[in-house]
Amino acid sequence: MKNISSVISSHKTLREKIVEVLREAIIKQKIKPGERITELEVAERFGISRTPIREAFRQLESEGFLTIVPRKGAVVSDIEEQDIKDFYELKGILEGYAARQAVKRMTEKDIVRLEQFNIEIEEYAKRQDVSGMTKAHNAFHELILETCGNRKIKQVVTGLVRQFLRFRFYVASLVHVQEILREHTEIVAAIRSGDGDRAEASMKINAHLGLEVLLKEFSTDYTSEK
Amino acid sequence: MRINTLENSIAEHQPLPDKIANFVREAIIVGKLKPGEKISEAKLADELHISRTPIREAIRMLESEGFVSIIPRRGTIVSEFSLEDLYEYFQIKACLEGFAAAGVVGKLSERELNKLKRLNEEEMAVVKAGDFTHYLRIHDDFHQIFLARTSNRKLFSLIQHMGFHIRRLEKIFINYPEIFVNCSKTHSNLIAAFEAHDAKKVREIVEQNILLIAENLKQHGASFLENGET
Repeated sequence: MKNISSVISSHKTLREKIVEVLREAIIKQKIKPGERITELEVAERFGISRTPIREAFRQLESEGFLTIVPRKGAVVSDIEEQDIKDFYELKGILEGYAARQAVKRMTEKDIVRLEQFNIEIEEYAKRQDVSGMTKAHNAFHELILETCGNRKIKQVVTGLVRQFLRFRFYVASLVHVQEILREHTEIVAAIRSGDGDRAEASMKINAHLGLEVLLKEFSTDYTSEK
Repeated sequence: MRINTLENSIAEHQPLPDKIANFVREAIIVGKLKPGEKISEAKLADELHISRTPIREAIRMLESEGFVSIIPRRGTIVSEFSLEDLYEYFQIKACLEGFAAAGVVGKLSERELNKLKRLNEEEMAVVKAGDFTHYLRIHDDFHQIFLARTSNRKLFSLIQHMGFHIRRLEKIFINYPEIFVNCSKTHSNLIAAFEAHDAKKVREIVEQNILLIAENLKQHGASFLENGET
Protein backbone atom coordinates (compact mmCIF):
# COMPACT_ATOMS: atom_id res chain seq x y z
CA MET A 1 0.00 0.00 0.00
CA LYS A 2 1.23 3.44 -0.80
CA ASN A 3 1.20 5.90 2.04
CA ILE A 4 1.13 9.62 1.47
CA SER A 5 4.82 10.27 1.99
CA SER A 6 5.90 7.64 -0.53
CA VAL A 7 3.53 9.17 -3.08
CA ILE A 8 5.05 12.59 -2.46
CA SER A 9 8.62 11.39 -2.62
CA SER A 10 8.01 9.41 -5.80
CA HIS A 11 6.46 12.53 -7.27
CA LYS A 12 9.49 14.45 -6.23
CA THR A 13 11.92 12.19 -8.09
CA LEU A 14 9.66 12.13 -11.11
CA ARG A 15 9.43 15.90 -11.06
CA GLU A 16 13.21 16.19 -10.72
CA LYS A 17 13.73 13.83 -13.63
CA ILE A 18 11.46 15.91 -15.84
CA VAL A 19 13.17 19.10 -14.67
CA GLU A 20 16.59 17.71 -15.58
CA VAL A 21 15.55 16.52 -19.03
CA LEU A 22 13.83 19.79 -19.93
CA ARG A 23 16.59 21.95 -18.45
CA GLU A 24 19.22 20.12 -20.48
CA ALA A 25 17.14 20.37 -23.65
CA ILE A 26 16.84 24.15 -23.17
CA ILE A 27 20.55 24.66 -22.37
CA LYS A 28 21.59 22.59 -25.38
CA GLN A 29 19.10 24.64 -27.42
CA LYS A 30 17.10 21.61 -28.53
CA ILE A 31 14.11 23.65 -27.41
CA LYS A 32 14.58 27.29 -28.33
CA PRO A 33 13.43 30.52 -26.67
CA GLY A 34 9.88 31.34 -27.63
CA GLU A 35 9.04 27.70 -28.27
CA ARG A 36 6.01 26.29 -26.48
CA ILE A 37 5.90 23.15 -24.35
CA THR A 38 2.57 21.75 -23.20
CA GLU A 39 1.89 19.52 -20.22
CA LEU A 40 0.04 17.11 -22.50
CA GLU A 41 3.00 16.73 -24.84
CA VAL A 42 5.39 15.96 -21.98
CA ALA A 43 2.84 13.66 -20.31
CA GLU A 44 2.53 11.59 -23.48
CA ARG A 45 6.26 11.43 -24.05
CA PHE A 46 7.01 10.22 -20.53
CA GLY A 47 3.79 8.24 -20.15
CA ILE A 48 2.90 9.90 -16.85
CA SER A 49 0.20 12.02 -15.26
CA ARG A 50 0.20 15.80 -15.54
CA THR A 51 0.63 16.69 -11.86
CA PRO A 52 4.43 16.18 -11.61
CA ILE A 53 4.79 17.92 -14.95
CA ARG A 54 2.97 20.96 -13.67
CA GLU A 55 5.33 20.99 -10.67
CA ALA A 56 8.36 20.63 -12.94
CA PHE A 57 7.14 23.56 -15.05
CA ARG A 58 6.80 25.68 -11.92
CA GLN A 59 10.31 24.84 -10.79
CA LEU A 60 11.72 25.68 -14.21
CA GLU A 61 9.76 28.93 -14.13
CA SER A 62 11.29 29.86 -10.77
CA GLU A 63 14.75 29.09 -12.20
CA GLY A 64 14.02 31.40 -15.12
CA PHE A 65 13.89 28.79 -17.89
CA LEU A 66 10.16 28.91 -18.60
CA THR A 67 7.37 31.45 -18.60
CA ILE A 68 4.02 29.90 -17.77
CA VAL A 69 1.10 31.30 -19.73
CA PRO A 70 -2.29 30.48 -18.17
CA ARG A 71 -4.32 28.01 -20.27
CA LYS A 72 -1.57 27.84 -22.91
CA GLY A 73 1.23 25.92 -21.27
CA ALA A 74 4.80 27.07 -20.94
CA VAL A 75 7.09 29.00 -23.24
CA VAL A 76 10.89 28.85 -23.08
CA SER A 77 11.92 32.28 -21.78
CA ASP A 78 14.01 34.63 -23.84
CA ILE A 79 17.39 35.54 -22.45
CA GLU A 80 17.33 39.29 -22.22
CA GLU A 81 20.61 41.14 -22.42
CA GLN A 82 19.27 43.58 -19.83
CA ASP A 83 18.60 40.75 -17.34
CA ILE A 84 22.16 39.47 -17.72
CA LYS A 85 23.57 42.95 -17.11
CA ASP A 86 21.25 43.71 -14.19
CA PHE A 87 21.90 40.43 -12.44
CA TYR A 88 25.69 40.56 -12.62
CA GLU A 89 25.84 44.23 -11.73
CA LEU A 90 23.81 43.55 -8.61
CA LYS A 91 25.79 40.45 -7.71
CA GLY A 92 29.01 42.46 -8.09
CA ILE A 93 27.78 45.20 -5.75
CA LEU A 94 26.66 42.81 -3.02
CA GLU A 95 29.57 40.38 -3.19
CA GLY A 96 32.03 43.23 -3.57
CA TYR A 97 30.64 44.85 -0.44
CA ALA A 98 30.85 41.52 1.42
CA ALA A 99 34.47 40.99 0.36
CA ARG A 100 35.41 44.49 1.55
CA GLN A 101 33.81 43.86 4.94
CA ALA A 102 35.25 40.33 5.18
CA VAL A 103 38.78 41.72 4.97
CA LYS A 104 38.35 43.15 8.46
CA ARG A 105 36.93 39.96 9.93
CA MET A 106 38.49 36.92 8.29
CA THR A 107 40.99 35.00 10.37
CA GLU A 108 44.01 33.23 8.88
CA LYS A 109 42.09 30.00 9.44
CA ASP A 110 39.22 31.28 7.27
CA ILE A 111 41.65 32.31 4.55
CA VAL A 112 43.26 28.87 4.57
CA ARG A 113 39.79 27.39 4.12
CA LEU A 114 39.29 29.57 1.05
CA GLU A 115 42.54 28.19 -0.35
CA GLN A 116 41.37 24.66 0.35
CA PHE A 117 38.15 25.27 -1.56
CA ASN A 118 40.23 26.38 -4.53
CA ILE A 119 42.26 23.18 -4.39
CA GLU A 120 39.00 21.21 -4.26
CA ILE A 121 37.64 23.06 -7.29
CA GLU A 122 40.75 22.09 -9.24
CA GLU A 123 40.58 18.47 -8.16
CA TYR A 124 36.91 18.08 -9.01
CA ALA A 125 37.55 19.75 -12.35
CA LYS A 126 40.27 17.22 -13.15
CA ARG A 127 37.81 14.41 -12.45
CA GLN A 128 35.16 16.27 -14.46
CA ASP A 129 32.86 16.10 -11.44
CA VAL A 130 30.64 19.08 -12.16
CA SER A 131 28.44 18.80 -9.08
CA GLY A 132 31.47 18.49 -6.78
CA MET A 133 33.03 21.49 -8.44
CA THR A 134 29.87 23.55 -8.06
CA LYS A 135 29.72 22.62 -4.38
CA ALA A 136 33.31 23.74 -3.70
CA HIS A 137 32.78 26.86 -5.77
CA ASN A 138 29.66 27.79 -3.81
CA ALA A 139 31.43 27.07 -0.52
CA PHE A 140 34.16 29.56 -1.44
CA HIS A 141 31.65 32.35 -2.07
CA GLU A 142 29.46 31.43 0.89
CA LEU A 143 32.34 31.59 3.35
CA ILE A 144 32.99 35.19 2.32
CA LEU A 145 29.31 36.06 2.63
CA GLU A 146 29.21 34.39 6.05
CA THR A 147 32.21 36.20 7.46
CA CYS A 148 31.32 39.70 6.25
CA GLY A 149 29.52 40.56 9.48
CA ASN A 150 26.11 40.99 7.86
CA ARG A 151 24.06 37.81 8.05
CA LYS A 152 21.32 39.11 5.76
CA ILE A 153 23.60 39.56 2.79
CA LYS A 154 23.89 35.83 2.23
CA GLN A 155 20.11 35.51 2.25
CA VAL A 156 19.79 38.32 -0.29
CA VAL A 157 22.48 36.98 -2.63
CA THR A 158 21.10 33.43 -2.40
CA GLY A 159 17.62 34.69 -3.28
CA LEU A 160 19.01 36.63 -6.22
CA VAL A 161 21.02 33.70 -7.58
CA ARG A 162 17.97 31.46 -7.23
CA GLN A 163 15.91 33.81 -9.39
CA PHE A 164 18.53 33.67 -12.13
CA LEU A 165 19.58 30.06 -11.69
CA ARG A 166 19.37 29.64 -15.44
CA PHE A 167 22.49 31.80 -15.86
CA ARG A 168 24.46 29.63 -13.47
CA PHE A 169 23.77 26.50 -15.53
CA TYR A 170 24.93 28.21 -18.70
CA VAL A 171 28.02 29.70 -17.11
CA ALA A 172 29.00 26.33 -15.65
CA SER A 173 29.03 24.90 -19.16
CA LEU A 174 30.87 27.83 -20.75
CA VAL A 175 33.50 29.10 -18.34
CA HIS A 176 36.99 27.62 -18.00
CA VAL A 177 37.94 26.48 -14.54
CA GLN A 178 41.42 28.02 -14.87
CA GLU A 179 39.86 31.46 -15.18
CA ILE A 180 37.79 30.95 -12.04
CA LEU A 181 40.83 29.74 -10.12
CA ARG A 182 42.98 32.66 -11.25
CA GLU A 183 40.37 35.12 -9.98
CA HIS A 184 39.73 33.21 -6.76
CA THR A 185 43.46 33.22 -6.06
CA GLU A 186 43.53 37.00 -6.50
CA ILE A 187 40.55 37.38 -4.13
CA VAL A 188 42.36 35.35 -1.47
CA ALA A 189 45.54 37.40 -1.94
CA ALA A 190 43.53 40.64 -1.65
CA ILE A 191 41.84 39.52 1.56
CA ARG A 192 45.13 38.36 3.05
CA SER A 193 46.75 41.71 2.23
CA GLY A 194 44.04 43.44 4.26
CA ASP A 195 43.25 45.82 1.40
CA GLY A 196 39.47 46.39 1.31
CA ASP A 197 39.50 48.26 -2.03
CA ARG A 198 41.43 45.48 -3.70
CA ALA A 199 39.17 42.79 -2.22
CA GLU A 200 36.06 44.58 -3.46
CA ALA A 201 37.53 45.15 -6.90
CA SER A 202 38.71 41.57 -7.36
CA MET A 203 35.37 40.20 -6.21
CA LYS A 204 33.56 42.44 -8.69
CA ILE A 205 35.77 41.20 -11.52
CA ASN A 206 34.96 37.64 -10.50
CA ALA A 207 31.22 38.36 -10.37
CA HIS A 208 31.45 39.84 -13.85
CA LEU A 209 33.11 36.73 -15.31
CA GLY A 210 29.68 35.23 -15.95
CA LEU A 211 28.52 38.51 -17.47
CA GLU A 212 31.18 38.49 -20.16
CA VAL A 213 30.65 34.86 -21.02
CA LEU A 214 26.88 35.19 -21.26
CA LEU A 215 26.93 38.44 -23.22
CA LYS A 216 29.25 36.88 -25.77
CA GLU A 217 26.89 33.94 -26.08
CA PHE A 218 23.54 35.71 -26.08
CA SER A 219 23.88 39.36 -26.95
CA THR A 220 22.75 39.33 -30.56
CA ASP A 221 20.99 36.34 -31.98
CA TYR A 222 19.47 34.43 -29.14
CA THR A 223 16.06 35.84 -28.27
CA SER A 224 13.07 34.57 -30.14
CA GLU A 225 12.19 37.77 -31.96
CA LYS A 226 15.65 38.44 -33.31
CA MET B 1 1.59 57.73 -2.45
CA ARG B 2 3.98 57.14 -5.26
CA ILE B 3 5.17 53.74 -4.10
CA ASN B 4 1.67 52.39 -4.06
CA THR B 5 0.79 53.52 -7.56
CA LEU B 6 4.02 52.07 -8.87
CA GLU B 7 3.36 48.82 -7.11
CA ASN B 8 -0.22 48.62 -8.33
CA SER B 9 0.78 49.14 -11.91
CA ILE B 10 3.31 46.34 -11.62
CA ALA B 11 0.81 44.23 -9.74
CA GLU B 12 -1.61 44.01 -12.64
CA HIS B 13 0.82 41.92 -14.65
CA GLN B 14 1.97 39.90 -11.70
CA PRO B 15 1.56 36.16 -11.37
CA LEU B 16 -0.84 35.05 -8.64
CA PRO B 17 1.86 33.92 -6.15
CA ASP B 18 3.42 37.40 -6.29
CA LYS B 19 0.07 39.04 -5.60
CA ILE B 20 -0.53 36.79 -2.61
CA ALA B 21 3.00 37.44 -1.33
CA ASN B 22 2.39 41.21 -1.57
CA PHE B 23 -0.85 40.87 0.36
CA VAL B 24 0.66 38.81 3.18
CA ARG B 25 3.87 40.88 3.30
CA GLU B 26 1.89 44.09 3.73
CA ALA B 27 -0.08 42.53 6.60
CA ILE B 28 3.22 41.65 8.28
CA ILE B 29 4.75 45.10 7.71
CA VAL B 30 1.82 46.98 9.22
CA GLY B 31 1.62 44.52 12.10
CA LYS B 32 -1.75 42.95 11.30
CA LEU B 33 0.17 39.70 11.41
CA LYS B 34 2.43 39.69 14.45
CA PRO B 35 5.86 38.09 14.88
CA GLY B 36 5.38 34.46 15.92
CA GLU B 37 1.82 34.32 14.61
CA LYS B 38 0.90 31.27 12.59
CA ILE B 39 -0.07 31.61 8.93
CA SER B 40 -2.42 28.91 7.78
CA GLU B 41 -2.43 28.00 4.09
CA ALA B 42 -5.92 26.58 4.40
CA LYS B 43 -7.28 29.76 5.98
CA LEU B 44 -5.65 31.95 3.32
CA ALA B 45 -7.01 29.72 0.57
CA ASP B 46 -10.46 30.10 2.10
CA GLU B 47 -10.23 33.86 2.57
CA LEU B 48 -8.85 34.60 -0.90
CA HIS B 49 -10.87 31.89 -2.69
CA ILE B 50 -7.86 30.35 -4.39
CA SER B 51 -6.13 26.99 -4.45
CA ARG B 52 -3.27 26.16 -2.12
CA THR B 53 -0.58 25.73 -4.75
CA PRO B 54 0.01 29.46 -5.45
CA ILE B 55 -0.25 30.15 -1.71
CA ARG B 56 2.46 27.63 -0.98
CA GLU B 57 4.63 29.32 -3.56
CA ALA B 58 3.94 32.77 -2.13
CA ILE B 59 4.93 31.52 1.30
CA ARG B 60 8.17 30.15 -0.10
CA MET B 61 8.88 33.56 -1.62
CA LEU B 62 8.25 35.25 1.72
CA GLU B 63 10.50 32.73 3.40
CA SER B 64 13.37 33.54 1.06
CA GLU B 65 12.76 37.24 1.73
CA GLY B 66 12.90 36.57 5.46
CA PHE B 67 9.34 37.57 6.38
CA VAL B 68 8.16 34.11 7.43
CA SER B 69 9.83 30.98 8.76
CA ILE B 70 8.67 27.50 7.88
CA ILE B 71 9.17 25.34 10.94
CA PRO B 72 8.77 21.56 10.81
CA ARG B 73 5.69 20.33 12.71
CA ARG B 74 4.67 23.90 13.54
CA GLY B 75 3.91 25.26 10.11
CA THR B 76 4.53 28.75 8.82
CA ILE B 77 4.98 31.59 11.27
CA VAL B 78 5.70 35.29 10.90
CA SER B 79 9.43 35.83 11.50
CA GLU B 80 10.56 37.58 14.61
CA PHE B 81 12.86 40.46 13.87
CA SER B 82 15.65 41.88 15.92
CA LEU B 83 17.26 45.29 15.84
CA GLU B 84 20.38 43.60 14.54
CA ASP B 85 18.38 42.25 11.56
CA LEU B 86 17.01 45.67 10.71
CA TYR B 87 20.44 47.21 11.09
CA GLU B 88 21.77 44.73 8.55
CA TYR B 89 18.98 45.51 6.10
CA PHE B 90 19.88 49.18 6.49
CA GLN B 91 23.52 48.42 5.66
CA ILE B 92 22.53 46.57 2.51
CA LYS B 93 20.11 49.34 1.55
CA ALA B 94 22.83 51.96 2.03
CA CYS B 95 25.19 50.06 -0.25
CA LEU B 96 22.58 49.45 -2.98
CA GLU B 97 20.94 52.85 -2.84
CA GLY B 98 24.27 54.68 -2.92
CA PHE B 99 25.16 52.78 -6.08
CA ALA B 100 21.74 53.40 -7.66
CA ALA B 101 21.81 57.12 -6.86
CA ALA B 102 25.30 57.55 -8.33
CA GLY B 103 24.07 55.75 -11.44
CA VAL B 104 21.32 58.28 -12.18
CA VAL B 105 23.58 61.32 -11.87
CA GLY B 106 23.23 63.32 -15.08
CA LYS B 107 20.00 61.54 -16.00
CA LEU B 108 17.57 63.56 -13.88
CA SER B 109 15.42 66.01 -15.81
CA GLU B 110 14.78 69.61 -14.82
CA ARG B 111 11.29 68.53 -13.80
CA GLU B 112 12.59 65.78 -11.54
CA LEU B 113 15.10 68.10 -9.89
CA ASN B 114 12.29 70.58 -9.27
CA LYS B 115 10.17 67.83 -7.73
CA LEU B 116 13.05 66.99 -5.41
CA LYS B 117 13.30 70.61 -4.39
CA ARG B 118 9.58 70.89 -3.78
CA LEU B 119 9.55 67.73 -1.67
CA ASN B 120 12.56 68.97 0.24
CA GLU B 121 10.69 72.20 1.05
CA GLU B 122 7.67 70.17 2.14
CA GLU B 123 9.95 68.16 4.41
CA MET B 124 11.24 71.28 6.08
CA ALA B 125 7.69 72.57 6.50
CA VAL B 126 6.33 69.41 8.16
CA VAL B 127 9.38 69.21 10.41
CA LYS B 128 8.62 72.74 11.54
CA ALA B 129 4.97 71.85 12.07
CA GLY B 130 5.95 68.69 13.95
CA ASP B 131 3.91 66.49 11.62
CA PHE B 132 6.26 63.51 11.67
CA THR B 133 3.93 60.79 10.42
CA HIS B 134 3.52 62.79 7.24
CA TYR B 135 7.28 63.27 7.07
CA LEU B 136 7.98 59.59 6.51
CA ARG B 137 5.80 59.58 3.36
CA ILE B 138 7.46 62.67 1.89
CA HIS B 139 10.87 61.23 2.71
CA ASP B 140 9.99 58.04 0.83
CA ASP B 141 8.64 60.01 -2.12
CA PHE B 142 11.87 61.98 -2.29
CA HIS B 143 13.94 58.82 -2.61
CA GLN B 144 11.52 57.30 -5.12
CA ILE B 145 12.06 60.20 -7.55
CA PHE B 146 15.68 59.34 -8.23
CA LEU B 147 15.47 55.60 -7.57
CA ALA B 148 12.76 55.27 -10.22
CA ARG B 149 15.32 56.40 -12.80
CA THR B 150 17.73 53.55 -12.18
CA SER B 151 17.99 51.38 -15.29
CA ASN B 152 18.57 48.20 -13.26
CA ARG B 153 15.01 47.08 -12.38
CA LYS B 154 16.32 44.27 -10.19
CA LEU B 155 18.37 46.75 -8.18
CA PHE B 156 15.28 48.94 -7.79
CA SER B 157 13.13 46.09 -6.57
CA LEU B 158 15.78 44.85 -4.13
CA ILE B 159 16.02 48.32 -2.59
CA GLN B 160 12.23 48.30 -2.22
CA HIS B 161 12.45 44.95 -0.48
CA MET B 162 15.03 46.17 2.01
CA GLY B 163 12.62 49.05 2.61
CA PHE B 164 9.77 46.63 3.37
CA HIS B 165 11.77 45.16 6.24
CA ILE B 166 12.71 48.57 7.55
CA ARG B 167 9.08 49.71 7.49
CA ARG B 168 8.30 47.15 10.21
CA LEU B 169 9.87 49.55 12.67
CA GLU B 170 9.77 52.93 10.96
CA LYS B 171 7.33 54.46 13.44
CA ILE B 172 10.12 54.38 15.99
CA PHE B 173 11.60 57.47 14.32
CA ILE B 174 8.53 59.56 15.10
CA ASN B 175 9.83 59.76 18.67
CA TYR B 176 13.21 61.13 17.57
CA PRO B 177 12.52 64.22 15.43
CA GLU B 178 16.15 65.37 15.37
CA ILE B 179 16.76 62.71 12.71
CA PHE B 180 14.20 64.42 10.45
CA VAL B 181 15.91 67.77 10.75
CA ASN B 182 19.12 66.05 9.80
CA CYS B 183 17.59 64.24 6.81
CA SER B 184 16.05 67.38 5.38
CA LYS B 185 19.42 69.12 5.45
CA THR B 186 21.10 66.11 3.88
CA HIS B 187 18.49 66.10 1.12
CA SER B 188 19.35 69.72 0.28
CA ASN B 189 23.02 68.72 -0.06
CA LEU B 190 22.00 65.77 -2.19
CA ILE B 191 20.08 68.00 -4.61
CA ALA B 192 23.16 70.22 -4.91
CA ALA B 193 25.35 67.19 -5.65
CA PHE B 194 22.87 65.97 -8.29
CA GLU B 195 22.95 69.41 -9.91
CA ALA B 196 26.75 69.44 -9.84
CA HIS B 197 26.77 65.98 -11.49
CA ASP B 198 29.05 64.79 -8.70
CA ALA B 199 28.44 61.04 -8.63
CA LYS B 200 31.00 60.33 -5.93
CA LYS B 201 29.44 62.87 -3.60
CA VAL B 202 25.91 61.64 -4.36
CA ARG B 203 26.90 58.12 -3.45
CA GLU B 204 28.60 59.24 -0.27
CA ILE B 205 25.66 61.37 0.88
CA VAL B 206 23.07 58.66 0.26
CA GLU B 207 25.16 55.98 1.96
CA GLN B 208 26.01 58.14 4.96
CA ASN B 209 22.42 59.30 5.37
CA ILE B 210 21.03 55.78 5.49
CA LEU B 211 23.77 54.58 7.83
CA LEU B 212 23.09 57.52 10.13
CA ILE B 213 19.43 56.53 10.36
CA ALA B 214 20.57 52.98 11.09
CA GLU B 215 22.78 54.18 13.94
CA ASN B 216 19.82 56.05 15.37
CA LEU B 217 17.75 52.91 15.23
CA LYS B 218 20.45 50.99 17.06
CA GLN B 219 20.61 53.65 19.72
CA HIS B 220 16.89 54.04 20.38
CA GLY B 221 15.40 50.79 19.12
CA ALA B 222 15.92 48.64 22.19
CA SER B 223 13.91 50.78 24.58
CA PHE B 224 11.20 51.15 21.95
CA LEU B 225 10.85 47.39 21.59
CA GLU B 226 10.94 46.84 25.35
CA ASN B 227 8.07 49.24 25.89
CA GLY B 228 6.05 47.03 23.57
CA GLU B 229 4.98 49.87 21.35
CA THR B 230 5.09 47.79 18.20
